[in-house]
Amino acid sequence: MVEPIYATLAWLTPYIGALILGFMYLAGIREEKAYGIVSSASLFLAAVLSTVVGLDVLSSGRPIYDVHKWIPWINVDVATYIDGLSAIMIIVVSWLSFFIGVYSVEYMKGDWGYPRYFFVFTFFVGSMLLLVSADNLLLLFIGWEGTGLASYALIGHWYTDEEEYWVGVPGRRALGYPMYFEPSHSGLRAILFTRVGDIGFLLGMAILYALAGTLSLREIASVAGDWTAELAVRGTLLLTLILISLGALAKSAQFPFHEWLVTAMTGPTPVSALIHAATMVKAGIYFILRFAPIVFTGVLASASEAAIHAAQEYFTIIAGLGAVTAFMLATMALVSNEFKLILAFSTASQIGYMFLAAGAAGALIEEADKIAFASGIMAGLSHLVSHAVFKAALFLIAGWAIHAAHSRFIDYMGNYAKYMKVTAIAMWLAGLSLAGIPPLSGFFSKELTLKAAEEAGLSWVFGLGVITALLTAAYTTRLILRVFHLPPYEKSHHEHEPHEAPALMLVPYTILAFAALIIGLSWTKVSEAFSRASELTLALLAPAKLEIHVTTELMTIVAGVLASIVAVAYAYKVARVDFKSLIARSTIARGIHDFLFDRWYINSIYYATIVYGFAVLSLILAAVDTAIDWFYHAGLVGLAGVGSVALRRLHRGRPEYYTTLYLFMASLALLLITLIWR
Amino acid sequence: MVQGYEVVLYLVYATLALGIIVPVIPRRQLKIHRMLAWLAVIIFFVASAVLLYNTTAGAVEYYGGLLVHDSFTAAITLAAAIAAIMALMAVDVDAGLWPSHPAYYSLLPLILFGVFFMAGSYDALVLLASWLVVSIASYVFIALPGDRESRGAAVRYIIMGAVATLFLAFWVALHTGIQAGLSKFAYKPYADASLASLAVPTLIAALGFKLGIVPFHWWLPSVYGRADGRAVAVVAGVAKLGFIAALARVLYAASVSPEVSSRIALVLAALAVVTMTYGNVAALTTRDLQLILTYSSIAQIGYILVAAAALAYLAPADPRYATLALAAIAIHSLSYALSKSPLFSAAQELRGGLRGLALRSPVAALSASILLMSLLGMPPLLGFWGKLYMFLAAIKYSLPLVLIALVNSGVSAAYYALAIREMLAKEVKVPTVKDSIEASLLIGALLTVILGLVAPQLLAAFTPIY
Repeated sequence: MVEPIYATLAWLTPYIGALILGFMYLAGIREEKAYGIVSSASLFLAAVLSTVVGLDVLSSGRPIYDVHKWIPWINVDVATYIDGLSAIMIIVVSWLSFFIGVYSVEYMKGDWGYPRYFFVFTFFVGSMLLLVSADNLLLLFIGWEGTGLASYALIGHWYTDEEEYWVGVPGRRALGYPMYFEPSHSGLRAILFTRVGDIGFLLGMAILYALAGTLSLREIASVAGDWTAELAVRGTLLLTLILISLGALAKSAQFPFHEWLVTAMTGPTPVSALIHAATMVKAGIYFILRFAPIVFTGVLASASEAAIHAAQEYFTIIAGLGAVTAFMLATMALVSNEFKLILAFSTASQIGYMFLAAGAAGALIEEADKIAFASGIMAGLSHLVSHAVFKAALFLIAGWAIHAAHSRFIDYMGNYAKYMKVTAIAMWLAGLSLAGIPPLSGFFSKELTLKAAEEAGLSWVFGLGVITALLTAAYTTRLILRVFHLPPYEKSHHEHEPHEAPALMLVPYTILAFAALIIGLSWTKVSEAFSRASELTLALLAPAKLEIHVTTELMTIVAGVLASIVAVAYAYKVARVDFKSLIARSTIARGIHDFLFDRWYINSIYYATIVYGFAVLSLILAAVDTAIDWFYHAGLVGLAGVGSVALRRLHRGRPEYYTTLYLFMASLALLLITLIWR
Repeated sequence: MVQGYEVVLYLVYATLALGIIVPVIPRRQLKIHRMLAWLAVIIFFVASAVLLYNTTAGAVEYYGGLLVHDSFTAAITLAAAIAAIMALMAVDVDAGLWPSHPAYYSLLPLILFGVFFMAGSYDALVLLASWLVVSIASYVFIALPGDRESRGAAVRYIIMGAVATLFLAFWVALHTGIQAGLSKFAYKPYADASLASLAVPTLIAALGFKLGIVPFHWWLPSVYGRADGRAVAVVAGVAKLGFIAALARVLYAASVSPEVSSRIALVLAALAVVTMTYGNVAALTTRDLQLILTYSSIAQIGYILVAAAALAYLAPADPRYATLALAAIAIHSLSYALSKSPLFSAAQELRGGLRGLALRSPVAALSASILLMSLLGMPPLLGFWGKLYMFLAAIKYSLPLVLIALVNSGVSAAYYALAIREMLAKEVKVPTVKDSIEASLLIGALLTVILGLVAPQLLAAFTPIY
């Protein structure tokens, strides 16, 4: 049994590291190495502490709870709570952070914002660890917003907006709206998109606090039967649950909030790897995995027909959104021509699978099958973990590939397998894991999520999931072939030959890629750990079944995926289909390509309706404001001035005229009063 | 044994006597004229002070109840006395240079004498008689300086005033008729609505003329605005107070049943709104001090009408708040007189504009500023308390009316503040005022400040007859 304080120290360490970095900067230290060392050291320490704490929880079977008094009048403390779910999360998050931190030391070398980068990076890790180990919603929200802030700062890291850091093809427009984004613009987009969800999250928190009288997740879980029943009676359970989940949907870039993640690729590549693939975008699904069991057991405890119905609808909506996101973003990845952009589409798509799994698990609420539910939730978590590992590897490889090509467009890359053997192997391992090829980790976790959808009887969700799996295999293969095995499509302006990455970059992504393989090979062990974790997880408390049985369906899916890979390989490598000229020739092909390439025109629609809608509203309000201003400062004053002069003009000093007026007025008054008083 | 209230009467007649003696003294004896006038106003001041003291124990009756003074009327009389002292101080020996000399020194005591009877009149005929005394004295007063403008103003005043007097005479007839031949106030209620609906507007038309209630105010701007400020100081600051007292008293007497009183209140409230707004808007764009004071006089009567409406409404139902309204009118009239009398005198000297007054005569500028701020209603000056109590009482009657009054008060800040700023402005050709006017302004300002500080105590000592 470890000391509970370690759990708090695990997230506090990176914060302290960030603080030291800040002071170093203020003290005038500009030595790059110092920043790299302090940051990496604090990340390493956090990783070790997290591992100690996490493993202790999983092995001893007892959650760790560390509490320090904070705000007594709303009953909120600095309380860290590590159960099965959190244990796995902190281990994954902290080690990925450390690896990517080490990679960054090399990657960011010579960058003019080096100290700032490491300050924000380290601050991010502290916030992320706080988010996944917080016991109450307020603390969770602080971590949540901390990650959002860091994300904003790192997306806009190169805020001087040079063209090489943009996302999208410069000059391209869809429906008249630009489809290229500068870093500073992208940062704003990220924080504004997630803000929409966060408002819902805050409102949901307030409702929960009003009903449950606490923000502590454990206490909310223990009285979940009461507040779900009460909300169900008022008919607002579904609305409240969706409100609370809005933050998660936005954070995890699920439709209709996915747009911010795409343009977040303006940040440095390690940032994309850590924040926009491995960790922060997982905060949303983490919250769903944390919250869904509370809802599930709470609604069952309330035994209210209306509550069960509302919960069923809620979970189906979550699963549906996940499936739609998975499919939609996968189609976009098919045609994208930027390395990181393909990975970004893929990330949102894969997180869609996780939402799909969690939603599908909950949709079984009418059967009250706790074990199936736990299995679905843990399927989501297992895909979260395996995706975090292989997607981080892919992004880190992307960082090096982009560096080597001096371009973010894959058309300028080619034949890299010749120059960088180890990187190519790592790319294949991570890529096939993403495609879902056994025995890599991605295969197991993806199959589990599909199994959950199938068991829940949500056939269209399941169907979309399967189609997405085929698309995933296709775009992954296309990407790997284009970059590693085909000659460059466009001639690069840089003539020197690419070479293997330096050790500090090569080692992290190779380790991660092989980790995908090792996790897959030892899936029996890993699934046992997940199963144990599910028993230890707040409100879940049932052992998840995570075995994969070989069935006809499974065989069909794997066969389909393999066929998809082979087909793409055939088209590119053997048939040498020139898709570019195909698109140029055929109107239909160009129409489909543009539709997918311009992201289903969703971005343009947002700009047309929301952004410019508000701009128009703001113009109208400005006009109203000006009118009000004019009324008070010119209109009213002018009127008073004219009235004042006019009233004085009445007095011209002529007695006969005055007398007439006087008599007239007196008669009028007399008449009026006599009439009214009757 | 002579009673205190009898002494008052002797002193008032002494005032009249001194006023009558003045014209008998040869024209050259300016010193004696002034001395006699000073003696008269001081005697009157003492008389009204004694009167006020006597009324604290209860109302004082003269001539078998034809003349009744209470705290309200006594306070108004005292205010008139103080205003007269300040006017006399301001005019100094100047009136001796007027072609009409020594009429000024003779008519001032006469006006005071009339005010005493008008304020205390408890009978329609007494009111008519005192009205004529004060009115005719006022007409002549405006003409005293003898210049073209003053004579023109006086002619207008006389012609229009005659019409208004006819209305008053008509009212006396109606009133006496309603009360079956009795001209005293409040023996019988205005029970007959048709007669009341004739009597009340007739009276308001008559009094409204004298007070400058819109739409009966037509003469006022050409008289107050064009005549010699030193004469206007007496007409606006002294004579007017008698009419205010008469208005409050007659309306109070008429408001005997809730039915009638609410009707009277409504009429007064409507007139209040029109009057305040008219005065304030008209004053907004002028930079001439005398014109500002002219239109602000109309606005100030509007505020008093707000309280008068509340007084009429509350008289049968809520005597405590009716008393508050009366006290408020008294305090406001005092502050009004304290400000207007010296300011009108000063305005005559400042025809060329106020700009830069503070450079040459800082005391005059500061005092004038204080008096203007009191008119605006700036705490803790006396004008603030007058408005505060008036509006407090009026809240019992109608909140919207009070809000309109407050908005009007806010609007008035514009021209008062501009006038004050004018005085502080830098100017090459700096205006000056004579020492006598400076002294008058200073005394007005001092009284405004000191009485403002003790205003709540004044209110506590207030006991009307009702």
